[in-house]
Amino acid sequence: MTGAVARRYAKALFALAKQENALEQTAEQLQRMAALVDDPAIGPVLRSPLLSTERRRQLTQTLARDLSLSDLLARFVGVLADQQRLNQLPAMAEYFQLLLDQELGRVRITMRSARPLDTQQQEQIVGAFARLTGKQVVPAVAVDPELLGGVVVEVGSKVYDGSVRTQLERLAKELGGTAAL
Amino acid sequence: MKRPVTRLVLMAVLAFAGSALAEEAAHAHAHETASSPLGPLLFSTINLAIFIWILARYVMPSVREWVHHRRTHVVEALEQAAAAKAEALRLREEWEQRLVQFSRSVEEMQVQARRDAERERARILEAAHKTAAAIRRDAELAAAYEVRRTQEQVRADLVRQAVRLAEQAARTQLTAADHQRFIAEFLRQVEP
Repeated sequence: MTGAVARRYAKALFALAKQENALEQTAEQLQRMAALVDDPAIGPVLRSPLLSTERRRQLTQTLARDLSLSDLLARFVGVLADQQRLNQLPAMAEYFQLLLDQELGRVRITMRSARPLDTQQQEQIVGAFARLTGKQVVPAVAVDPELLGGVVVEVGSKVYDGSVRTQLERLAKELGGTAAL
Repeated sequence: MKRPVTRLVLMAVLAFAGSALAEEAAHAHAHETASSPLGPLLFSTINLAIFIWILARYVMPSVREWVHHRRTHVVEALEQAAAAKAEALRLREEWEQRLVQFSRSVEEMQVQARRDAERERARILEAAHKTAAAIRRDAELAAAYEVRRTQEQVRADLVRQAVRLAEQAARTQLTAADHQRFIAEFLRQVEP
């Protein structure tokens, strides 16, 4: 769950990016920067309290140059470094993505299945959820053999469960009440 | 009491003395008048008259008084005996009544004791029946609970085994066509 601080920063960045008509670009670069902050080799250094503010700013500017971040995002990361909010960057990127999806009328879904879904199956599911939500669907695919069969689709906080595992659990409850799988 | 006896003794002495004197006189006179038979008769008659007079004058009142006294004493003794007899009769009647009362009390006590014993027996029997019923009910409940628990355990075991078998079957036997069918079923449920 995204915190209030991360949401405030993300909203501010979103408004600025929208003014500059660079929403998609900012979102993509923010994702890359967030991945860097989450990186176990670089993240702890960036978040270290032993690092001086000046040194942290220099470091983030170097990273911004290396990642070819936009001027807006470079300044934004600099502010986060000054305010020691870099640890909130992944949450900000996530909320920014949500705002962007809402702005563009998109919805992100995660499809989990016991076997890899072929293209046709993915398209069928994407199409179904596009019709269900009335939005453009951005899919993510994952394979989970524990599902045994079928598919589970997560849309935001909602879960559509068509897995064999869940059907077996439901059947077991109906038959035996407390039978544990 | 002492005075009449003294008087009686005195009268006896006088009578004896009178009699002896009269006899002595009669004897002396007999010598003198042996030729006349009326003399001794006269003296004997006088002697008897004196003797009777002495008896009547001095002895009879004492005898009469003694007899009266004796009679009074006997009457009192008889009255006391009668009173004692009446008291004894009263006591006997009282004790007879007490005995009758005691017998009646004993009978009543026996009846009451039998009644109490009967009541106690009934109470004990009722309590025993209640206890037995409670034990039976508890046992039935416990047995029913055990049966139900066992049934649930058996059912749970069966379901667990069935699910495990189904899981194994799903892992090994599900084909791509099955997978496609699951997805199609899922889409049918999701589609508005």
